[in-house]
Amino acid sequence: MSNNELDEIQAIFFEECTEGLATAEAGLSAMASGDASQDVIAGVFRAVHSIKGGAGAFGHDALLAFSHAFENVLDKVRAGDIPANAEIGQRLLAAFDVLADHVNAAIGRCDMPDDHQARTMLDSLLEAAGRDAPIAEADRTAAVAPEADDFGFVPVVATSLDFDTPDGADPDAAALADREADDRPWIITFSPSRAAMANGAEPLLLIRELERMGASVVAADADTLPPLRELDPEQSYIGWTLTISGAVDQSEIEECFDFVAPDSRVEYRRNVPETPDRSDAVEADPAGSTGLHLVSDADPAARTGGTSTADIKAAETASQTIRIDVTRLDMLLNLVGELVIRNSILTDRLPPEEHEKVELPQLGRLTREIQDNVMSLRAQPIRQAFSRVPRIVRELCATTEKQVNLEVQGETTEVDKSVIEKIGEPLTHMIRNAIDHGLESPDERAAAGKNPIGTVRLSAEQKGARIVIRVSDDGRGIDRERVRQKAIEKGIIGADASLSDDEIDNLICAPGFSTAETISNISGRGVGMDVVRTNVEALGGRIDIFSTPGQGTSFTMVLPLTLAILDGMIVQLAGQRYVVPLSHVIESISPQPGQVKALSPRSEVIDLRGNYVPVCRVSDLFGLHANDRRSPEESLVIIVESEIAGCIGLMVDSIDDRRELVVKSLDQHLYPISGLSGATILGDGSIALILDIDALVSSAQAAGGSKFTLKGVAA
Amino acid sequence: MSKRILTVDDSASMRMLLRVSLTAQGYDIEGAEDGVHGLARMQEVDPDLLITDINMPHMDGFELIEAVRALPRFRGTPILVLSTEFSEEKKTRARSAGATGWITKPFDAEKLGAAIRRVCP
Repeated sequence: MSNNELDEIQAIFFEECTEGLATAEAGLSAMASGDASQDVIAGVFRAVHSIKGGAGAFGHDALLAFSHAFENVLDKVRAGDIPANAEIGQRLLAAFDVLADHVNAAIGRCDMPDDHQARTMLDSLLEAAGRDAPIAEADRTAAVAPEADDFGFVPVVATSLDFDTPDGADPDAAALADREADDRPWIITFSPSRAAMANGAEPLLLIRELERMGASVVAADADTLPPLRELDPEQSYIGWTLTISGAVDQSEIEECFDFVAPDSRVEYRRNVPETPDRSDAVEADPAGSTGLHLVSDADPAARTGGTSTADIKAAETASQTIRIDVTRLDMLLNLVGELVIRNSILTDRLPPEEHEKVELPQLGRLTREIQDNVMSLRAQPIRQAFSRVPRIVRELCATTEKQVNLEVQGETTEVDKSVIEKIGEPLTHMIRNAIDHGLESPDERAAAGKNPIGTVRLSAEQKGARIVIRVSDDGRGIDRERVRQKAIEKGIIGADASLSDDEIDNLICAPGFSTAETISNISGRGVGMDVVRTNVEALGGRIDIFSTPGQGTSFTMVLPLTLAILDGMIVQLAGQRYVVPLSHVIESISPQPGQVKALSPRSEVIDLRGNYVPVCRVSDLFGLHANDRRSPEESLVIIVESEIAGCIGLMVDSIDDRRELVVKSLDQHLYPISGLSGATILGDGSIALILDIDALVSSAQAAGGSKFTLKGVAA
Repeated sequence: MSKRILTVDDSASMRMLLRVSLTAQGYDIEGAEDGVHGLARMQEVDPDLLITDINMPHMDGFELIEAVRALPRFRGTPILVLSTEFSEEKKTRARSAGATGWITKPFDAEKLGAAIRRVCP
């Protein structure tokens, strides 16, 4: 096998490890909270077992030894010898962390962990469960993992281990003692069990193999061969006596008989023996029928009992998976994007009456279906990103001596793979922040009349084309006065700045801000919430902070579900076209005279059935219409909603169309332009900029001073 | 014609490892990811030898061996277990289910080949 092949297979093994670790962690967490079913435990066992198997195959000895010790304990848990209770679950989670480190060390991502403590803990669990010598056992596989192994082999003489030992089978102690120097020829007698052939063992193959080693058959024992009429051709009735040179090592002979030894009668002797009493041999082992006995013993119903039709059906519906390189999916997605664009071009260029004739609507539907399918290929449950959180929480609990109850919701929410890849870091940071800064120590909490165990909630939900991820804690909330002071000290705001509570809270995300009095070794790693904000914004998302003193803080990330295609409303502004993402649009209004009221020359509101919503003249924002400012009655107002900042009305000249659009990102140097999130190519080949509604709403709200929500309109 | 071997293992890397090692020794290798698929593939592929793992989801190796042996056409087909386990209890179970032999993981390609030759003509 070439190194390349091996590397490739090993890469797959590492992927399996990562998946296995996630399964194991989820299962152990369930156990730690006291509700692990037998299936879950079996799943954890299998996951660790597979890691061990691969570790052995790829020569990761430390991982092999540790996963073996871990697996032994899990085996006992599975068998019920070790209780699957919360306490054991906690301990096994600690061992799990070490296992994860071992995997990472094998991948080369970190140094070999010190697993001494975890090993001791695992071994003591095993010992408590009554295992004799767990360490010796573990070392055995680690050090001398047997290869082509025996089937329960007893040296020199092997017979069935489970049935009466035939008396002719006594070990020849003398032969054993001097076998080292002995070169007398071997005499081998071999009588396969009757059922050997039914189990797929073919005595002829063994004899051929022995012949290759220089053996020759000197006698066949056909005494038990029945008359032809009674003969069952699938059974084995004949025994053989062979001789082979004394130079052949005993272990080589043993290896040959590995598979048949337990059920069959095999003897080796040095020297010329007294003629083996063959009939004895057969009688002593009742009709040589150990194998037969086993087969007939097994109730045919019991044989298939474990595999009911229902079981098989259930598993058949389990997905058959193939692994595909993500770049190939991306290529497919790009092509679908092009297809969407071509479709728009056709729609634009052909006169509408031609559309039906050339089946354009059908093409459109098909395109949309292909697109949906390709998108779903990239969709992954956000669980993958959430899966590392429990460990972070456990580690923080240990270092901060705080007690935390982690609640996770919506982990099956599916998002685009690119989103999963990129939210890991911001998420980690938000969790660290919540525990390190947000939660109080158990004493403080008790003094404040709270449950000493703090709660951190992590949730994900899909809202339209966006995903909302929230990290909230029930801690002390943001100390606004301190944040304000700090911001002044750091020169982020002026000493006389007057800021709303929201604005103060959001200062946490300002560049160069860190509130911890002493930079703790947990959150304060030189990266602050400003990095989180930058990361989230790079994903086309927003982050918002909401805090109530004494009751807790919540961080909300709103991200696009996919970064590639969106439903957009194409609007006209001073002869140019812009795109409003449809997922933000609530309604569009043609204002009546007086419906839009000016509060000041730069600030207007629209009266929406009794609610006043600030109006943003997009054209002013982008410096359009400089000489030709339209009146509200000549315009349209699109009411848009942002997850974070509430609602505003966007004033535009007209609405052109509704379209599926392929999002193209803006070049890096265009990023600082607030209010734009990307660009797209329209059907006629021209370019339209996509409006960043969250940013527009936030800036309009900042100008207006507080959040507007549409009670009775949106809800 | 080269011999066909069906390998059943829930780990894709293990299946690939077997495929690469045994293809080099002139065998045709088919794979399945658990007992249920293994049983179905068995009937499609009609292999000369079945090599199966024990710990697998949906249907484990013991159940697979029993199910295969219950089918008359596979009564004489050799079945090797390839597992990291090596306890006597498990081996006895495999044997009574109908396994021909047992190989312990991790395997050495050469010895695996020798073991296969002992059961597969």
